[in-house]
Amino acid sequence: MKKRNLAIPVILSAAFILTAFGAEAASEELKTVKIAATSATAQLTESALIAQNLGYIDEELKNVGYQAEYVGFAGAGPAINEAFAAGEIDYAFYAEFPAITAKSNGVDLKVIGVANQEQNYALLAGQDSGIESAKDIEGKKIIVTPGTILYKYFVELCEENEIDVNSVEVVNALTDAQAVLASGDADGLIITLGGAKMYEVLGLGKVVADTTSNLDQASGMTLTGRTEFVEENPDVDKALLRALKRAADYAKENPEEVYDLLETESTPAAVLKEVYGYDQTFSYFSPELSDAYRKRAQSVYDFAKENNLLGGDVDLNELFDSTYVDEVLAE
Amino acid sequence: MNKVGKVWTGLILPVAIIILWYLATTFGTMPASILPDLRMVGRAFAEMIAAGQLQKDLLISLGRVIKGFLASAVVGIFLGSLMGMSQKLKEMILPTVTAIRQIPMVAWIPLIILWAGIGEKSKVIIIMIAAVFPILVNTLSGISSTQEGYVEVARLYKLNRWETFTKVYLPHALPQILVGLKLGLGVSWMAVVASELIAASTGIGYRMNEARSLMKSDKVIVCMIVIGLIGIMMDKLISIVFDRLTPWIQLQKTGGSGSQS
Amino acid sequence: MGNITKLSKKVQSSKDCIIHVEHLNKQFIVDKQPIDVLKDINLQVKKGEFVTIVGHSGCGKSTLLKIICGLVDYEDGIVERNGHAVVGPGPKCGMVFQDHRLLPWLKIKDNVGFGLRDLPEEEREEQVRRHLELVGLEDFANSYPSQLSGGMSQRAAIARGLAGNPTILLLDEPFGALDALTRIKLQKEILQIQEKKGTTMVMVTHDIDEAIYLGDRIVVMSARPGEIKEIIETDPVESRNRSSVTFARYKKKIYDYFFEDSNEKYEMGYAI
Repeated sequence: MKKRNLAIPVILSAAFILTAFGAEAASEELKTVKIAATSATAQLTESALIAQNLGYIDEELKNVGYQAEYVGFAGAGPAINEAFAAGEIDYAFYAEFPAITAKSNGVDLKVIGVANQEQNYALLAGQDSGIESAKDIEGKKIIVTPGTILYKYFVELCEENEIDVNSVEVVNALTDAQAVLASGDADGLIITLGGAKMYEVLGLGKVVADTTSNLDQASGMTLTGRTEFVEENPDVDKALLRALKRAADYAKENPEEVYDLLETESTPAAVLKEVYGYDQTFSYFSPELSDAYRKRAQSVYDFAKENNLLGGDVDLNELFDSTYVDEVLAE
Repeated sequence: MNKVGKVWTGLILPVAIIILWYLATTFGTMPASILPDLRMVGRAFAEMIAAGQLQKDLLISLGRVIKGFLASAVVGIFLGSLMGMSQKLKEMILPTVTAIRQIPMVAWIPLIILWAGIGEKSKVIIIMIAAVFPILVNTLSGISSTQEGYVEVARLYKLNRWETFTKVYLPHALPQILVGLKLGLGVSWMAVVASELIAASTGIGYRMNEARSLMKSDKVIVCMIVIGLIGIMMDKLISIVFDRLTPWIQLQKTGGSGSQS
Repeated sequence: MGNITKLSKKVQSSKDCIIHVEHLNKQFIVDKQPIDVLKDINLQVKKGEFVTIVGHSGCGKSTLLKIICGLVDYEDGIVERNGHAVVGPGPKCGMVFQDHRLLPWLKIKDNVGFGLRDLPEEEREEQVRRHLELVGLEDFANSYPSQLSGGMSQRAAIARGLAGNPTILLLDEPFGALDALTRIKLQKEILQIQEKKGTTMVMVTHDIDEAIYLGDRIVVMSARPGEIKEIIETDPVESRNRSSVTFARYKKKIYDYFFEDSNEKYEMGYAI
């Protein structure tokens, strides 16, 4: 008897729920594309953030019948690569270094554009470290993560200043850099320019060198996608790139607004001005895989190969595919 | 079941896993960058051994585990005994301990760095903090569950507090302490991997992380297997030591009992 | 402490009185209410006697034993042992509990020698060996308590109690947890042991037959509060014959005391 009494309400509820969902799905009719971001909050960066804030991405995607689902990855590059390998995401906004690593290990990806051609890095000298310029890091303790783009910059700084890399004690503590610097267990830190400027604001040190003086040492924030998806959905590729282009154009025409559009909880507009203000036309936001950018990408690839960080050789011309962005720029 | 039989039974699951693994990688659609096949793992293992790096990393991590585990054993057994013997102390300390236990390790790390720097000391401290809880809790339980009857016997023979502790409470608690130590050991291994995320450039946890960022999943699996095997061996070692210390428990298990009345 | 002028007749012969209890009262606080556990207990035990105490559970007989032993404090009355006021446990007074309480992590020989740690090793080993022989457990010296049956464990407990050659051995329902046949066997054995060693024994029991068989004198106690109803002196020969008329007479006498409480259910058997 009891079994019977329950069955009816259960069936009715199930039917109700199913119709409700079914109705919802029917009314949407937009397919979903999953886009990965390198922060836990799933917030994009660079021109992509401008495009996200101005609604360009949503607009352009809707025109081709898609909506975006943003997925945050606190584990950044390696975690995003795992998601790519498992087919769990379609696109990612991340650096080219992990994209190259993934491709060298057999994950089929394509870099179709950039959200920033020139991401800058800096050397932050800790308070009381006695470091006034890059020359002074000899014999000191510097926080750098081995096997990453930050390490590449570190090596380049040593070469420029004729310092033996082995004379600098490398401390692998990026995630806890604040505590390490504060306790004096390290004298300096290699980090993105944006990150370094924030540390300055926090009183943990000052920037003594950065890549804005030599943009060949910078690298990019790419838009990368799974080759399968990219090739099957050129309209989606172009929709995203179009959104980025519009954002770049907007930045050029409205320079006063840019820093506010890039502002996040962790980085206020005033700090961003120091990071992005060196080029008032914001030309680096162009999504084009320009020659200058490809040169940087090549340098990153060479570094990775020299240091045995890759699973095999990569044809950069295959990985960096300009087809879609060139079409969008020609529109 | 005799000892040999036990070993065979214990191997059933691992063999099954290996078979499933082989099937998944040969006939499945798992990308090699996430789940490499057995041969790749075997090759990676051979390479790592030949390069000597695996042994070096293992020894370094093992050293950290042993130091952290011993520290946690001393602290855990000491505090657990104190709290087991004194209701007042227990009421004073246990709520705080329980609260601290809930805090995830990640939250401690910046504080530990400030206090203990980024060298070996901070790593050992992390392991100690993680492993001390199961040891403390089990010691406390073993001590406080000592039957009043035995304590009365101690009073009858006028044992002082220390003698009562060493001759009645402690032997009674030994089996439970063993349980705590085994749990603590397992936690120590997990903690050493976590501790090698802070400013490390050596150790098997570090190597595992490095391999992961470079998508060298075969190396990752080698590290996992090695940790697992070493963990089993250490667990067995503790069991053997404790079996020596608690002969009366073994006899209970094998059911030896007198036949006459 | 009690009123010295109220000495009873028996106390005047306290010279060979090895246990002397006078006007002992004991209260426990249960749920903030004081409960009388023992009321005006007067008892003298002579050297070499075997005294049994019989009564319902909860009548305080175990408490009385523990007070004499020194494990429970007393505030009101006189309790003396070997001529001295009882202030705590001592080497001259041993105790055997109902649950044998052999420490499971010690071998039998170490259990038996538990109270002898102040002795030099050779002497301790000798005492242990002798007392294991006394109870017939010499083959089990290196066994653990878990390997022994209930009866054997209790024998080991008795050996432990006697190992220090105390003048007094107190036994709190030592055979209560054993089966009927084992119980009878051990009753015989404890008498033999007492004959050999001459230790004064005071035993608390539920079992009326046991109380009669073993006791030179039987202390009959009632419950709530625990009071001594009567102390029966038994005929040494007749009380060792379980089927004698005298035995049955003692039995009836003791039974009658417990039939007085009308609200209790009774089992017609050997125990209450």
